[in-house]
Amino acid sequence: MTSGTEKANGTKKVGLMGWLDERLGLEAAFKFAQKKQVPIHKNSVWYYAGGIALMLMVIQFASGILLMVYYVPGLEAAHASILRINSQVDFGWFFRSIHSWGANLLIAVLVGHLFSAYFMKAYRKPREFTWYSGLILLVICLGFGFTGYLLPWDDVSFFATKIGLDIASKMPVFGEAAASLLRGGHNIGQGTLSRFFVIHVALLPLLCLGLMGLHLLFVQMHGMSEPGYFKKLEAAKRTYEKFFPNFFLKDLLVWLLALNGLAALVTLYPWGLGPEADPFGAAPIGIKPEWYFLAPFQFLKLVPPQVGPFEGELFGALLMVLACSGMVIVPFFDKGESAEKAKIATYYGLVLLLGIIAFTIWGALS
Amino acid sequence: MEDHKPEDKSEKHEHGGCGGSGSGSSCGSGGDAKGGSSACDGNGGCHEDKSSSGTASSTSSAEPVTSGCGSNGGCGSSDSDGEKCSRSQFLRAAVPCVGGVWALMAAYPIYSYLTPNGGDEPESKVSSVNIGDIKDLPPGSGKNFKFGSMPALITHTKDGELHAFSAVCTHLGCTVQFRPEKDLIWCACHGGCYDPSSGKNVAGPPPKPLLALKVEVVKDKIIVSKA
Ligand code: HEM
Ligand code: FES
Repeated sequence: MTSGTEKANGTKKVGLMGWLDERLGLEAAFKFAQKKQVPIHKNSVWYYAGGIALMLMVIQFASGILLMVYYVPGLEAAHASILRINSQVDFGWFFRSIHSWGANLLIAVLVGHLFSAYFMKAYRKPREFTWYSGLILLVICLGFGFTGYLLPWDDVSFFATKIGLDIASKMPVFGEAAASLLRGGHNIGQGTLSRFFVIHVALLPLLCLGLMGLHLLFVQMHGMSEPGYFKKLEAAKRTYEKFFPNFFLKDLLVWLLALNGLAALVTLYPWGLGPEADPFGAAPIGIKPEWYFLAPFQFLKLVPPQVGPFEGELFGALLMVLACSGMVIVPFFDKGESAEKAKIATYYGLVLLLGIIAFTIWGALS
Repeated sequence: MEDHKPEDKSEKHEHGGCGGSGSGSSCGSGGDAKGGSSACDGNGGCHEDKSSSGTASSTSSAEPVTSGCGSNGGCGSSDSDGEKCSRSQFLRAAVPCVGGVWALMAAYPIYSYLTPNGGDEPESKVSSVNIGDIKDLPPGSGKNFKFGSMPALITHTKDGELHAFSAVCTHLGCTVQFRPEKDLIWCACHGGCYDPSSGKNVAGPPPKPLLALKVEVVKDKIIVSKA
């Protein structure tokens, strides 16, 4: 009956699509999806970064859920369960390596995504919330990395966590309380492992899903941002391609390549596992944090134990927070009205990026 | 609850705060939107305009009233002006308040639940430990051991003396070790160095010396106790 009236209207589709459309509003959803266009210019490749991050995130979720089947978050059992995943469970080494390599690649891609958006000035109105949700997503992923690193309970991860929490406890006001909540006691032990596990597999995934949904919704709502030089082109020279299906198909191709890259890494360089943590043994020689924490690690090494009234760690951490705070205020500083401010923002971004790269390399070499 | 009926013309609507007397159920009971807006006088209080109330039903006109009451301290203040507000305004103020209080009430048990109470941690009750035979620790060597819940370190320096310390680096809490080739106590995390006899911080980021413990040798056995 309803389909009859639709036919009469002559506008609606009949059959299954029509039936679904009436119930799900597919038409509107398609329209929403088709709205997006991708500008074509010399920096268009960076538009792939977000998509790759999305794909890697899906891989982290899938491999993480698989790992949870055999992983046991207990002081005596954790390291043994990873050993078992690595050596006895069929394809266990594969999924564990995927998860570890994937985590590293994800963070690398996110950093690229962040800075490309920054230099294309995509944080400007109306995309402030897109920018902030992205910043928080990066912090969440660093949280994933920090909490996940402890789970295998090997010697390096034990001390990495120890240092991380000790730095946290030196922060003003809430530092001590937050560190003690996370540590679950005076020493790193079962309490810490349980908490990190829960944060890693429940709390952060929930937060992450919600924010990813928002982030993607915002992107879809506002369309792709166009860099200034592209906007200034005369209309005829500004070329676009449709996101659906053109760019999306290219996205799929890139995902496939990235996936192959990941699989190659995983099989050629399976992720290792250090000896089990010994809370009373000495810190292993050559201990270093994951590469994405190397820059702050190296920076803190340079700060003397006491700077004026401040303890070295606190001073160093405050300095780093200050250095990064530009990322937070930039949408309200560089609103696109003043060329002067746009330039300042670009230089700030360059200095920050080069600083991070330099400290990371320095930390890796020393 | 009394309803505003056209016959209630004589009723005075000067008292009664939020949700108080029956009049709280609708301020501006007079007439349609236009009538209602004129019924809200400059004081922000909503006074019934007799002329319009006589003709109209008792539908409340939310918007004008909201602006009227809201601009004047909002709901809850029952000052002598006889300020009133509508049920919807009251709810709009009350829902976030109750929600906030509820959230605080929920946060407290959650915070307490997550706060470690140390019940399962025997807080370093140990006062001395036997860490083995002196023969196993020749001069120029050192060894990490467990002192209660604290990592500890003993050094046998080349001058033949024994020294014991907490092995917790005073920088960021890594566990230090004795490096025989450097003749130093060394921390792998950021390269802090301590003197193997005194435990004094001699290089790198550590801000303080290591906490010293007491060493005795009883019948060739090394006994370490709290200093
Ligand atoms: C729902 C999502 C996730 C689940 C259920 C999950 C689950 C797990 C589990 C069970 C482990 C312990 C096994 C192991 O250590 O190999 C682990 C480790 C780890 N996870 Fe995740 N994870 C998730 C997402 C992520 C994300 C998004 C990241 C990326 C930033 C990440 C980074 C790590 C790291 C670095 C390790 C340590 C790997 C190792 O050394 O073995 N995880 N995860
Ligand atoms: S923790 Fe020992 S030097 Fe930093």
